[in-house]
Amino acid sequence: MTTAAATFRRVEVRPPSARIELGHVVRSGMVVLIGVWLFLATDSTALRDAGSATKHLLPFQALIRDRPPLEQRMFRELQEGLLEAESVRASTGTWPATAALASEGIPPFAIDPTRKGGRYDWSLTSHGAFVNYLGLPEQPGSPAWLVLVQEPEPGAPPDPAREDEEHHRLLTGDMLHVSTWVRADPRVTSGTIRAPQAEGWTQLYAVGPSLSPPPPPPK
Amino acid sequence: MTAFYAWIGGLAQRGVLPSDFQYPFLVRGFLCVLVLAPILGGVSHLVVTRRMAFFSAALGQAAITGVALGLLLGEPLNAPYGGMFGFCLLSTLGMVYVKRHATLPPDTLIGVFHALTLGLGLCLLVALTRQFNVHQVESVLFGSLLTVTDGDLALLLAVGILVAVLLIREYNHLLLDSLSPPLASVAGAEPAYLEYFFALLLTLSIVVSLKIIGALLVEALVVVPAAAARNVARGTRSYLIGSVVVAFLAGAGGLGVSTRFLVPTGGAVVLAVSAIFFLTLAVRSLTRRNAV
Repeated sequence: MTTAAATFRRVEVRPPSARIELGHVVRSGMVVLIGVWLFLATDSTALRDAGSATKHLLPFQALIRDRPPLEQRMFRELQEGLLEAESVRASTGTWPATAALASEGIPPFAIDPTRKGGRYDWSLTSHGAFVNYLGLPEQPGSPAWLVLVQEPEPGAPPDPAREDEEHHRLLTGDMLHVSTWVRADPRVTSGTIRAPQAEGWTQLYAVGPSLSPPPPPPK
Repeated sequence: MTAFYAWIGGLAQRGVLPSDFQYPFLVRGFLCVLVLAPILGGVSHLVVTRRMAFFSAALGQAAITGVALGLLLGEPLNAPYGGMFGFCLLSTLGMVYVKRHATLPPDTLIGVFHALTLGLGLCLLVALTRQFNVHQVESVLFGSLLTVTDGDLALLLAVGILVAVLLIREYNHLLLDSLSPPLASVAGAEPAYLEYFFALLLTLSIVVSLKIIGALLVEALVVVPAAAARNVARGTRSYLIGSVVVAFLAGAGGLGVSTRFLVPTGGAVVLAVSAIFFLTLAVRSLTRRNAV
């Protein structure tokens, strides 16, 4: 009996004082706040690059100013060509074929003998709300180009996004989501491309996704 | 890492690996799953045993507010880690303290925090969409492999090692405290310390997984693997190992589905882990019927 009693151990389980626990919690919270402050203070992207366009780019996005001159020229031409195509789309309700754009002399669809980097074979494909203008190089070593347009779904409520380089409003009032992509490897899958980033394409921006100029104030 | 991705890409082009591995983002995603599975699977069975599923959901959604605060503080959209870690750790401390000392039921209190952080996060995010393209924010909410960088992978690995070391150190006490807090106290564990300790470990695990799983769905991967493993486990060890295996299968399966069908990674992973859960449920029913 004495031996059995000796094996028992009495342990008093007392909950910690609420005030002491609160003190620990507040001190831990201060440590977290100081840690975050130090992280932000030393994080180069948070301070040194404040306001930089590249700061908010995702890994599959790039600024056109950082790309080679030939790509910069093609990007500019595609922006012009896209505006012409949007104008036709607004007036006729359909996207113009690349041959039609080429016959109008609209770059980059029209043949330009002075172009460096070789000629491109342009095609128009669409599937549902997605429209692709895809340019495949005839010369090996040149990148493939893609203009991806996403039209609003029929019956969808008006898009509240403001107009910027990714959101173009047609004269009809429809808001299009447009993006320009480049891919170093011109071997691309057949069919309409809906998510180019998942197929190794890089999205190009003129000014960046979050630094577009704000909309003009309403009159 | 570029040479490593090129080597893997070469293997994919020669047909040794699936062709999708020619893209570095998918290789990074697979490496993330390899690291995430032991972390989330490891904490998952303790989350279920300690009845912290709702707490995990509230934490995931607090991260939305953390992202918004990080962006307001000038962090890059692709890595608002200061805001996320800071806000989630502070929310955790607040939630655990209030839960321990309030007289209301724990799920009611967590519900209050849940609603508060989600409401605040959504208001801030809507305000931020005037500065940011709304499509850029989608990847934070739903997870995207395409936004994962080598830096994210390194952070995931570092946090994974830290969580694993701390979890192993306190595992027996945590498990005992989950099953019987008085017994754990007698064994020398401090229940209050363990409660804060595990909640903070869970917070680190959740925040570091957000880039892949997304803020809205991350709780699924800290709850469902253990629920699925519990259907077929015969002891604590198989429960733990089962949770890790289910988390890995769900992560790898979700990755494949996400790449093939171009759906958000978080959604695909949740579908995969749910499918595994119902499969194990069916296996359990069949096993029981045969035993009878």
